[in-house]
Amino acid sequence: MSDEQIKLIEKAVANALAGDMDAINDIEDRVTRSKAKAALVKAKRLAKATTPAEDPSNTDELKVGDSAPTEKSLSEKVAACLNEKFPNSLEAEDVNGHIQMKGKNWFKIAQYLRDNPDFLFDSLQCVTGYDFGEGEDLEVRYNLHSMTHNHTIEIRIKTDRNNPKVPSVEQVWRIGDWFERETFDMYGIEFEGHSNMIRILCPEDWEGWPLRKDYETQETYHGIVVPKVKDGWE
Amino acid sequence: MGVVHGDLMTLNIGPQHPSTHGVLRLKVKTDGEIISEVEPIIGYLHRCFEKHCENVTYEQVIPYTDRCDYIAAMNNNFGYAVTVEELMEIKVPERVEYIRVIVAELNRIASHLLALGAYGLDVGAFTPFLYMFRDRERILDLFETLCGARLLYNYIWVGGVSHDLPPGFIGAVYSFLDYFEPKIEEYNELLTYNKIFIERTGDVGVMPPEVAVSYGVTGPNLRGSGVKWDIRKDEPYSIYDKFDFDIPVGAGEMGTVGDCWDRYYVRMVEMKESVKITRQALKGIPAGDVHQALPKKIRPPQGSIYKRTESPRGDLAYYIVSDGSPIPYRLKMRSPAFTALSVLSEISQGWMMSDVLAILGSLDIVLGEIDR
Amino acid sequence: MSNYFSNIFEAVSTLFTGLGITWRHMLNIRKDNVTLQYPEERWPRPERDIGFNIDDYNVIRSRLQVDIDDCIGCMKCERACPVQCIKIVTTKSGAKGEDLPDINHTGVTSNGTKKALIVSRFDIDMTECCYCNLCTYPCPEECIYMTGGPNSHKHPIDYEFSQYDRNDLIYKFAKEIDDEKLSKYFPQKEEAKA
Repeated sequence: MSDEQIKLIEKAVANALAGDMDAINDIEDRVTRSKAKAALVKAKRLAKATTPAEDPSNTDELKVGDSAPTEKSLSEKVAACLNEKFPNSLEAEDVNGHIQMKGKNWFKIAQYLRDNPDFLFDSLQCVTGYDFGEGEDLEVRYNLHSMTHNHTIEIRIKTDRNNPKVPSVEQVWRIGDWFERETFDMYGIEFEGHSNMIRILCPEDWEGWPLRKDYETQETYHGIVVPKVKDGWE
Repeated sequence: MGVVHGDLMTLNIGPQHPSTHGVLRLKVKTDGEIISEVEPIIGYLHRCFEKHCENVTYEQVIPYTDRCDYIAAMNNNFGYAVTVEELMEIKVPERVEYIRVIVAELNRIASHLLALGAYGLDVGAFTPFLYMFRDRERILDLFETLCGARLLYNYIWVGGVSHDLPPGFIGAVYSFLDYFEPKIEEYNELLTYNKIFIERTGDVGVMPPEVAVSYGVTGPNLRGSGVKWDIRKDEPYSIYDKFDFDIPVGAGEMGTVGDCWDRYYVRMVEMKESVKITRQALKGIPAGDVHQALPKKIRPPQGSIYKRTESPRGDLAYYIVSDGSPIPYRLKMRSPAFTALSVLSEISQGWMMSDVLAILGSLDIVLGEIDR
Repeated sequence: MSNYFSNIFEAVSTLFTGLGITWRHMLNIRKDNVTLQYPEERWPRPERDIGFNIDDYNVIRSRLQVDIDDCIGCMKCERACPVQCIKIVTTKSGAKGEDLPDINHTGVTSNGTKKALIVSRFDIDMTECCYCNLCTYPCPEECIYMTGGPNSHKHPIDYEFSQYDRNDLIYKFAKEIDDEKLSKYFPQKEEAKA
């Protein structure tokens, strides 16, 4: 890489970190441009490691570059309210992007989030299961959204891998029924209080939890061999 | 006179059936002709989409997303590309944004044509089905000149699109739009205001807005119940905030607000709005290089993102967690038809057997998206 | 009572409007007919000619074809395939750029690139292929392509390739090489041990 290329890349990256992406997008040569983009990603990663900046998954209205926000972000407001009403239910102090919660009061907290007029989270957008790796914990992530106020938050609840249990929110948001059945089907997380905890996508007598990272397909199903690779196509 | 009650009869509308929605099994408990409970059983088209995505690279996920909602494949690609671009903070050129909107809106028209045609077929009207398919063929021919494929495109890539518009494409789209607008009037005369159709679908399967929101129903199903919510207007992504279009909502013209006719009519009017958006986009499309922002290797930084887009069926969202490698760590697709199907059991209680099929048709489900 | 009659009137009038539309289409049937009598009639791919020359835009999706003499064995297409339907096995040839007539191997591709690898297996399983075209983009020699359209000069279009047996849809493009002759080119393990 020539010296002038290195200088061009450094200048473009410095501009992009300040917020102006055109410097990188204007570079004509494709190879140099991609090198500049890689350098930008590396620079951002370094910046994140040294100073706790916002992570890209922030879903509420935090202003960029605001080091000491005078107005609290939505996650912080929710966390503050929850700490008052249901003490000792939050797992972590840092609520940038998502709220980490303990599972025990989840049903009451869900009702509170749905009914409180400041928040009014009347729609449960998505329930995702998450596996941290082999031998590690499982997690359930909820994305909530409010139709009236048009804001969103994400709530995460960790649970143990060998005995995963989380309270069910089927009675709070009616779509919780099918979403929780899907999470149970894929990860094996049992939702306490659910009226019909059976598999939804796989057949009812399938063994194993498919989306876990240590999943092995079963050998046969009702006598049919479950193929791993097509015959003759190794 | 006393009321005679018998036992409930379980009827199985099996995974193979002449209705056009895919491999869906309905376990229906009826008291004579009146339905008491409908339980949809899904999973016959489960192809482990999310597990596949944990083993292929980000570029290779795009053909897989095509095949989830195979009727509106461009919108699936669009949602995925927009999500990954936001995670990687790529800004795509203007021309790419305009091309994506044109293609997504054309696919919205094609998807609604199929939904409405198949709905007519379900309630017994055979003619509008083929008329709408004839017009859908013209859109698919346009897509064939654009990227070679008619149904599963692999066209919208992360950072751009795969091919630029061929010469003559813009003229061809204009001539299609001029041909298509009067056809909507023809469909209205043929099916929408037909008295038999109104009797069959008006006042049937009413979905109150609270039920819809609690069940997570979005898109035309929610708008049919009177809630004015469209992600293209309320949380705009790409360049939808530059266009001027209306959001149709159901008003209970032929019965109660939120009945099957309202959901059908919202889709019909949405096609007109899509034509409007496409015309505005065609007028304003700038010149440029569509491959300019395509990344050499997609390797997003660590983090997670949840992004919602508007597909013809509702609110399509992707939740992607990346661990810095070129392969996604977790990819979840939140499909709108999944939530739409879950509300079937709630709104079909008390109606008769043939009404269940009318309600199912009005929800416009695609099993590929539900089962993934 | 008047409701009863207006209902009947509305029903009859809307039915007649609908019937009028179908009647009008039936009278114009020679002009409006869109049915294609396949297989007697076949339209070209792509169907509509909107005014561009098909050779300029590579937008055809049909059966995959490989010009094996041009393949340098880089395996980029195998890595790009999302469903792993391409299987390639290569061996080092030891003599970069030289023709090896005993195993029918040409040393230089038609673009002038010297080949360093012998391709002994190049199978594409068309039953697994999802026709996404992702394998054709990374090929440096443009030797893997979809037949027809802009590639008609290399191979005529082929999209009707159904077979009676599923195994006949696994296309083997590599030249048949005798195992004995090929083993000459395997890395010599005895020398390393000695």
